Amino acid sequence: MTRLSSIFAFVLMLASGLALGVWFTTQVLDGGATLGAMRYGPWVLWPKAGAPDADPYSLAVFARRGDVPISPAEGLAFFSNRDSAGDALRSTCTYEIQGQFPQARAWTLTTYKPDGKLLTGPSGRSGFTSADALVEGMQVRILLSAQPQPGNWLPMMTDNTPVLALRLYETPLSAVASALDSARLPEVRRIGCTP
Amino acid sequence: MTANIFRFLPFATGALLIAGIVHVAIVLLMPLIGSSHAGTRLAQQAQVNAIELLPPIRTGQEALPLPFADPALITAICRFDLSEGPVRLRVPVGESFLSVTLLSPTGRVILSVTDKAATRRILDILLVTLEQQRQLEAQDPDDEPVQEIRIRLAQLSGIALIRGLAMRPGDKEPIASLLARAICKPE
Repeated sequence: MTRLSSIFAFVLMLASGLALGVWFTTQVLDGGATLGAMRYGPWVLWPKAGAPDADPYSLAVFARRGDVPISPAEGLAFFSNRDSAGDALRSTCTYEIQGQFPQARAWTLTTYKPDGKLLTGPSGRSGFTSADALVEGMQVRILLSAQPQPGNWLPMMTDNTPVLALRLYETPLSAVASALDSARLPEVRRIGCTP
Repeated sequence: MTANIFRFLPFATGALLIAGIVHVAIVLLMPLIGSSHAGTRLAQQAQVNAIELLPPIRTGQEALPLPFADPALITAICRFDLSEGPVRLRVPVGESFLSVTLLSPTGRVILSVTDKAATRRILDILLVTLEQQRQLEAQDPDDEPVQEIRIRLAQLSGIALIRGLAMRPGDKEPIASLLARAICKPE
């Protein structure tokens, strides 16, 4: 009886350990709160994912997603699925992505579905580049919304929560990613929601 | 009651220990196992020692060659194999950003070279093994510097990802035709 119960306890320990390990790893890799990630307001950056000395967490995150990380020689890529207040982006809301974009040879801002496909709205647009966005002074203002907006309108579809990617190609920030502060990245501000 | 807690303690410690081992194992093995990583996805679309230009992303298109790829990039790929000799990558560059990224068969970034390294509007790269590099250096003339960018690789095969940035929809065709003139061939 005691022998049987100790075997049972051992199997239960193995199973719960395995389940806990898998669950914890999924949480860590999908949540973006990994050791290799850096947060700047709503933006998440994996500065070493595309470097020769990449850390195991960044490598695992990108292997799971299946994309090729940008290398430090090319620039920096920031991802976000939240607004500046920390709330998850919702397709029923309108967001203002606004600010002075960091210095770079070129930038692109793209909207994705959570699975990594492009989020193309009714107009077919799924992003802006530094060449085709309207710029006022040094400030860029892009409106992310399911409803048509004046100026730089980035359409969303109502049935998908977007993932934003801001890529800076050949930026002087590359070498000093640790010195970057969130004030120099555009804000993602919620300006209204439809019920 | 206390006795119960002490009986539960080794069980909980054991479970946590196993969870830790499982976590470390998954993180370390993730880039090596599974068919979802970038290396496998790209290898399916590429040819060995030849350039394959991927069709530019059209307006309204949702599918991408890789998840979370930048749709403004025009992509050409080549699976290089150094077992027969060094492989030459010659890529003409234009006005906008262009990069050549070398990936291991599992999709890990080995190295990236941008258009800033081009001489006379050509990125001229020679991929070599250590042995091939020694042979070439023995043949190099002493009085003139080598013009090409020689990259020594630890592995015999991998994927070269050549990407040019099209800033406007109208730039996609010119950049695609620029990348179509790229060369990837054994020497």
